[in-house]
Amino acid sequence: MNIDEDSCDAIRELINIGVGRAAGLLNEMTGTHIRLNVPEVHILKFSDLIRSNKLLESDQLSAVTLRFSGAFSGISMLVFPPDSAALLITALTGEEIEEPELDALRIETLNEVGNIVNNAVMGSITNFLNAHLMYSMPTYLEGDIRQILGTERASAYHWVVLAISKFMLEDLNIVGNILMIFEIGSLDTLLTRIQEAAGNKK
Amino acid sequence: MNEGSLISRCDYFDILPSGIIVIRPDYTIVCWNRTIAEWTGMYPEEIVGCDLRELFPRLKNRRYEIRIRQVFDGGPAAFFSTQFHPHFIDAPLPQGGLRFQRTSIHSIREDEKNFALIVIDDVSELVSQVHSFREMKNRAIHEVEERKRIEDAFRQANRQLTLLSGITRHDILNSVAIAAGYLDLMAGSPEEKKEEYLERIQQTLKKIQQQIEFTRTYEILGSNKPVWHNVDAIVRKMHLPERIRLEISGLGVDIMADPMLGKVFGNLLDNTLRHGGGEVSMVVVDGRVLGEEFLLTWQDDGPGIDPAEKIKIFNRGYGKNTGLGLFMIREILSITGITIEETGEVGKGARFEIHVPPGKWRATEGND
Repeated sequence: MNIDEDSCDAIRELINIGVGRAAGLLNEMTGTHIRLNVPEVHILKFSDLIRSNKLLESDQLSAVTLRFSGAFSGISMLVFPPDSAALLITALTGEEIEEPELDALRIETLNEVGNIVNNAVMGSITNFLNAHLMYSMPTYLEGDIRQILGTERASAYHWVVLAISKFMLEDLNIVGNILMIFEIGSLDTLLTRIQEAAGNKK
Repeated sequence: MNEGSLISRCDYFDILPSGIIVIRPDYTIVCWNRTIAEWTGMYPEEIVGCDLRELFPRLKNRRYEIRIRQVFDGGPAAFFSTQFHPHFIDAPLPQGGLRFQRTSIHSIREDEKNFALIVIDDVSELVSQVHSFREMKNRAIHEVEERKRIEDAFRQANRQLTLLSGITRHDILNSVAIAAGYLDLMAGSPEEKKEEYLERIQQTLKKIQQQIEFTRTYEILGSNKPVWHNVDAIVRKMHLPERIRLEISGLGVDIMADPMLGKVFGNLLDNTLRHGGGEVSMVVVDGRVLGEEFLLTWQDDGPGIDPAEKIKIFNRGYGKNTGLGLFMIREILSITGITIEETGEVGKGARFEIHVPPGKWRATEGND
């Protein structure tokens, strides 16, 4: 598959719109001044995913995942190293604790943050394409990237959109990753539909 | 399937332990299961057909409205955590207070119509347990820290006691032996010699007195928690002879040290005055950030210290006077990991470098 710069730009813009909305919602919800941006978006093969990014090499990642299916299928997820996740949650909730760590309530809170980001990104894409997809429940998972994705469907995954996202809050500058992993043929469908939609909107 | 079938299906929701509400895009309630009726004391007969936002006005807030609208538009489920939304609806607990809730909202589409299925879990028990666990964990952390502090204090006290007993037993016995020797020599000596021996005995007694005084000071070292000290204020408080000019720069920092830190600068000045004699005309006290540490220097323009003596001068008992001043400085600083070394040049003056490690210094407030 040939991924041209225009398609990459379009995906970057749609993700940026989504995270912008997510940041707005998080600000309203928490009363904080969190800024969220996506300085880098890469499209790479699933098999190259782990080699491509040091942030995903950890064997203890925290991820909020959302599976989608329909015109294009795959999984969207927000992934953090666990320390960053705990730090982000304590900053968002204004808790003052000496050693941030994720317990049941903070995991739930991270699940909501991930839900907001995933939904906003997916909403941004489906609104632009006027597409309807089916979604699973948002799920929180921990482990290395293979454990999070599960081995049973690994062979179905083909392309990955990797968006390095920066959560900036007061002195904190936490880097998480938005991953959109597409099943075979799904990224082609998405790119074709983006090109069609862009053509129609011009 | 028509809307009637959805309403008839509401009965199935009654068997679930979660609170279930189904609403239309205008927030009209379609289903209100038994669990939620029991929590709220409001029953389906009076609730179905009402606007959920009128019953619970917080749902009019944009932070709910935007995300619920996204669900009605066929988007993914919206998840509302206990931390950010502890009470999605008001559901009192029998013992008082409101139930803590975890809520998710899902899209349902029937007969070309959109509905939202609201699932509310009562997590009051979980919240209570997590809070108890957090309290217990914090208590345990503080207890471990306190225990560690006490162990450190015991270790320090033990080290000091060993040293003190060394001083009292060895140093004072030595001095007593010297005094006794002079007393022996006095017997049968001519008058002019007796006077000389008597002076020596007086000097020895003075030394014993200083050794005992030192044990008193040393005894309390490390017995109180280290605190933040404003270095600039300590240095400016010192009384220097008029002939010595004091230059201060870069001291806008606080350092974490034993409460006896003032004695460090007092002893440095004492060292300058004793060993620099009348030659010293200036003392420069400077501070600067060096990588992650803070470097404090004390420099005079006296005769300086011989390279062969540089390491020995901090040993107990070494030196022309009591041999305790620089030793005491090193001991006071070492309590919080601060180190000291002499780096001056003979003929150019003594220069003491005090290295304050990261975490043990900070910019004085208003001096960032």
